[in-house]
Amino acid sequence: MVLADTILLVEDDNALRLMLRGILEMQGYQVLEADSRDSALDILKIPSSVGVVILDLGLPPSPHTPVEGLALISMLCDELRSLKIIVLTGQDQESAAFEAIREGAFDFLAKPASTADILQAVRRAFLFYRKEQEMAAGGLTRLQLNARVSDGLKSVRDEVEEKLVRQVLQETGFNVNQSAARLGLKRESLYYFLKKFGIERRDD
Amino acid sequence: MISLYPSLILVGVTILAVMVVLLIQSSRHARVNLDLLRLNETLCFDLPDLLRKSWPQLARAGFTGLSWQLDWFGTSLAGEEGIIGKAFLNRHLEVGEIALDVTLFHGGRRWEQRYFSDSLAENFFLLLHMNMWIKMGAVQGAFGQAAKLELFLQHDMKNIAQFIRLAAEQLEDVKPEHEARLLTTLRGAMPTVRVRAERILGTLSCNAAKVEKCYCRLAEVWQQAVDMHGLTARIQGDPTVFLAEAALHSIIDNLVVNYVDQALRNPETLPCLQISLSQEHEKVTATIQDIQGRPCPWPERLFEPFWSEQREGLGIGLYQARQLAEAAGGSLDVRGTSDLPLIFVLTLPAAKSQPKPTRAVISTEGRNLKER
Repeated sequence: MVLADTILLVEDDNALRLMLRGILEMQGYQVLEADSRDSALDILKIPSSVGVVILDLGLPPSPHTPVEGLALISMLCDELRSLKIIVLTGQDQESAAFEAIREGAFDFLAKPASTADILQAVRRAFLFYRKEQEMAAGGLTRLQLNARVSDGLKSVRDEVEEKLVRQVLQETGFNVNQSAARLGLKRESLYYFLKKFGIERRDD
Repeated sequence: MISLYPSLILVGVTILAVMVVLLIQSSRHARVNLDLLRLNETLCFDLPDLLRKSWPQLARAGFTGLSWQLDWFGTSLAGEEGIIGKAFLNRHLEVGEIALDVTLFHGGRRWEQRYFSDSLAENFFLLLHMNMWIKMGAVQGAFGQAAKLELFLQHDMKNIAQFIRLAAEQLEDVKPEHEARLLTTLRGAMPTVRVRAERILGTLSCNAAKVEKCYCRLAEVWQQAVDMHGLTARIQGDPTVFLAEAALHSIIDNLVVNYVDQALRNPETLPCLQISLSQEHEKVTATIQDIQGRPCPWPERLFEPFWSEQREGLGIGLYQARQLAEAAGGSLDVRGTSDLPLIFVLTLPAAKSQPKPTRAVISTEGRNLKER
């Protein structure tokens, strides 16, 4: 098993988390566990090879609404774009799926999902994760964008610029020289974009 | 110039007198306003009580009469005080399931008195409207809590369903080298699942909801409900109704539980129910009375949601029973006087044809759960 096949399991139900962990480990995946948004972020602060997150949207302190889960998706997609997030939730399927995908989730499974469906989603997510890593190594970056056509090209351009700058900075570990070189910009221009989009280095 | 002095003095004195009069009147109205606000606070912003007890203050402000008709969650209340004259200020207020028609009579007041009366009346109407919003807000809040409870159950049950599904799939197709691992996982997870399941069972009502309509012999259903709660009843008539099992179960159970609560409050006189069942055209009417019961001092409160005579009571039973009866095409009302025990009048849709076979509603399973 390669190190990249590490899954972060974010689920507040201990029994279900234990069962999912057992199933995934029996399939050869390495599994890290979190029971809340904060504990998930704490785990992801430590450099690791987590490629896929399996996420329950209903997390404490509001386990009966998708607020916490959606907030975590949004944060992860801003900070760690290469991660693939599989939502496994019992929340109202239609609205939760729409919100999760809009925030950047890779896949959505409604509880109760079968073992086969979960494993298939995990395999597919790792496939995309690895291919995107290969693309990034070759200088290609895949961006996901939610664009409203009626907002016009300018807003789309701004969002593309922001996502691209964030993505490259994340891939280079916030190395400004390398990022500027990769983006074909001068250092000063990159600083301009950092200021424009309010991007700051996270020391934690 | 000097010749004008008497006139100027007269004008000045007149203005001063007018101001004094206006000051006295405005002070009196301000005091009445304040008294109404304090009364409302003392009554905990309760609309029916405010309507009943605000007359002395209003009379002090010069109003000659007050009349009101209140639709309080489906129960009609009305009141009149003072003299019902011709000159009046009327307002219709409506918030959710509360509607109020209130009229203040001012006996043909004019000029500044009319101005002060109008101003005080507007404040009074505003107070009434505010109380309606407070009550509906509290009711909506309580229903919101109930919805949260539903969500909680849904969340927990879906997690349990997910766990069971995964466990079953693993057990079906476990490889020999994974058996020990699976056993360890199950051993670790099962105590949590058990706690969850017990929590759900504790939260869920023991009545399984069945929505399909069926023919039910009403006398049998009443007898079973009364027996289940250990009460005694004399039942006359035996019509058959046609409605959803769960609804009928819930309506009758809520009515009987109301008498059980009374028995708990007054253990010296156990309820003895007299239940008359009759059919007229497409309606079956049940009248229920505790012949040993006491008169109810607050009949208008009976169907008010989240109002309960007991601290531990939810105050939702009779409200829910009425809602269910109305949803089934019937009604639930109360009749009574201040010196006689209440009579509940329940109407339900009758069975159009003779049922085959007849069945009772309260299942043995339900009884066992109740008795446990």
